[in-house]
Amino acid sequence: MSRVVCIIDDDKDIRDAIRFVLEMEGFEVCEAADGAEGLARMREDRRIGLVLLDLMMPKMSGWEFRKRQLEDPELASVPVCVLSGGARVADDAAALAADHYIVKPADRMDLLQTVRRALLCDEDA
Amino acid sequence: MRRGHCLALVVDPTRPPLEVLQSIIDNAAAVIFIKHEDGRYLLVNRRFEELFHVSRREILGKADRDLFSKEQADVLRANDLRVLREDRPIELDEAVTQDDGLHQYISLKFPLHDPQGHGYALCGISTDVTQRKRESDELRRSHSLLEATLESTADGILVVDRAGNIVRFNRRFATIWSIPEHVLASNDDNAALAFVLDQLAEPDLFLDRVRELYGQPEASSFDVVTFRNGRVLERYSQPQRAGGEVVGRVWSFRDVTDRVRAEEHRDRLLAGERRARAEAEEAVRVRDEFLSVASHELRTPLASLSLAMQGLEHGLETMEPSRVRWAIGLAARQVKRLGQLVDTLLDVSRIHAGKLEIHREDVDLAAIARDVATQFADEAARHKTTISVDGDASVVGSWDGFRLEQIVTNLVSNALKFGEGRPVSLSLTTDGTTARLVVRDRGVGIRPEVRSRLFERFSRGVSARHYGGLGLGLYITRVLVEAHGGRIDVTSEPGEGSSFIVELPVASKP
Repeated sequence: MSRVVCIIDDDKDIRDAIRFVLEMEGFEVCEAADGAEGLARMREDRRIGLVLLDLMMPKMSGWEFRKRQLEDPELASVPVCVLSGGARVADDAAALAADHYIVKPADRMDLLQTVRRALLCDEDA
Repeated sequence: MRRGHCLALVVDPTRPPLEVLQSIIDNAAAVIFIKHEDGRYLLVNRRFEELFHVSRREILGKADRDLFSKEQADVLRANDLRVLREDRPIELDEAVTQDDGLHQYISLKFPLHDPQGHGYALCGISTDVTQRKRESDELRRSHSLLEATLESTADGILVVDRAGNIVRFNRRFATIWSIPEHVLASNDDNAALAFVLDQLAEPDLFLDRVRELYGQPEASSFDVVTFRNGRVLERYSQPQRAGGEVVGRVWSFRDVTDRVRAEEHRDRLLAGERRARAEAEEAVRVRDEFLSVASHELRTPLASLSLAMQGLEHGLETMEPSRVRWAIGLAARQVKRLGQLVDTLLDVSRIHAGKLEIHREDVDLAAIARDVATQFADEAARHKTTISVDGDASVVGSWDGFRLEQIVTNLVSNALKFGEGRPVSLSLTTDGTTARLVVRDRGVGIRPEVRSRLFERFSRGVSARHYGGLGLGLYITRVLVEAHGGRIDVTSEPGEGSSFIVELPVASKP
C-alpha cells in the first residue's frame, strides 16, 4: 500500500506546509511546481498513490495536467485530489472527474483524512 | 350666308309661310308658344301639346291658369308682363309641373310687334334644363365636398398635370413647405419649386424621384423627404385619372417629424439601456471574477499558515527546535503575504475613493531599487534566478518613498512571476529632470492585444488558469506613477520577456 503523495502546486509555501503536515504523519512526499513537472514526477516514481493538485499554475495548469494524466494509461488510475481556493472547487473537481477535493485553507485533519482515505490506509479515519 | 337668302331657298311660294313655321317649330326639341298680350295662347308647338296633354285647338283662347297651378301660372304671367313692359327679349328661369314632377326651364321670351310697333303678343322658347340643373347641382356638391376634404386633411396636397405644372394645392401644402404668400400669389411654379428645393437636405434626390415618376405616369410612389433643418416628410403620390387616362399626379406630404424624432429618441433610449445593461452585466462579471480570484489569493497563504500552525500544535512536543523555527518562519511569511494582499485591496479602495495621498520628501530611487532587489533575493532564489541593479548610483527626487517602494516591488514581483526563472534586471538613469527606471525580465512576454489594457483594474496579461494574482498590481502601479506626475509604459515580445519603463519627474510640480 502506497504512502507516497505528490503535491503539484506553483506556491512553494503551500507545498512546504503540506509536506510539513504529511511527513509528520509518516507519508513520503514529492513536489512539482506545475502540471508538466507533475507528470514527470509520476513517471519517475510509480509508488505515488495520490496527487494533490492545484488548478491555477503557470506553464501547465491543473486542468491540462488532468487531461494528460487520463490520456496516459500508465498514470490514469492514480487518484487525484483537487486542492483549490477557488469558489467552485466542487464543480471543478467534478468536471475533472477527480476523486477528492480539499478547499483551501485546508484543515490538517481534513487533509490527513482525505489522504488516508485515498491511499486506503484508514488508520485514524 | 344671310338668313333671308336661306329662307328664300327653302320656302315654297305656293304654301302659306305660317304652315312652314309651324312645321319648323313642331320639330324643335324646345317648347315654343305665342301668347296674346292678355295671356291667351295663340300658338303652341307639338312638344307643348305632348308635355301638357293638350291639342293646339283646345289651347287656343286658354291661358296659363287653365293649364298650371295658380302659383305657377302667376309667375309665368308676371314674366310675360315684364317682357311686354320692358319690350325686349329676356331669358328667364321658370318651373312648371309635368307628369313626373316639377321641371325647370330656361325660357327666352320676346315681344311680337304689329306694324305700328305695338307689342301685341309674345313668343317663348323654353328649354327643359331639369336634368342639366340636377347634374350641375350634383357637380357643385361634389366640388364642395372635394374642397372641404382637400382643406381639412392634415396632409399637404399638390396636384400637377402631366407636364408637372401645378394645378392645385391646399393650404396645408403651403404651410408644410412654408411657401410665402407672394410666391403662391405669383403662380410661378419655378419660384415655388425653388423654394421647396432650398429647404431640402438632398434636393437632387427629390428631383430625381419626381423626374422618374414623370416617366412612369401609372406608378404610385412613397418615399421620405428630409429637410436641412431635420424635419421629415413622408411623400406619397398617385396618378390622377380622367376618363381612364392619366392627366396628372396627386402628391401628398405628411409631416412625420414628431413621430420620427420620437422613434429616434426611443431608439437612443433603448440603445443606451442596452449599453448600460451590458456594462452592468460586465461589471458584475468582473466583480464576481475578482471575488473568486481574491478569495483564491487570500486562501492560498491562509492554507499554508493554517497547516503550519496546526502542524506545530500537533508536533510541538516531539519536533526538533530547528524544525519548529522553520515552521514559524513559514507561518510568518504567510502573515506578511496576507498583509500585502489586504494593503493592495485597501489601496484600490483608496484610489476608488480618491483618497490616495502622496507624501513627498527627498528620496533616492536607486537606493530603493537596491533594497527591493535585496528583499526579493530569497524569492529569486526560489525561482532559481537573480536580480541585478545597474545604472546611476543615486537618483534623487521629490517623491513618496513608501509608494516608490511599492512601485518597484510590484514590478520586480511581476518580473519574477512571469520571468520563467531567467535573470531580472533593474536599470536606473536620470537627466536631472526625469528619473527613469526600467525593470526587465526575459520571460513569457506580453501579447500585443493585451498590452493596452494591462494597466487597467482587474486586467491580467495572461490566463487566470495559469497565473494567480489579484489583477491589481499594474493598475495600482500606474496610478501611483501618475500620482507622482510620471508615466509608465511597457515594451514586450512574447517569449522574449518584457521591459516596464517608469519615468518620474525629479521635482514635484508646484
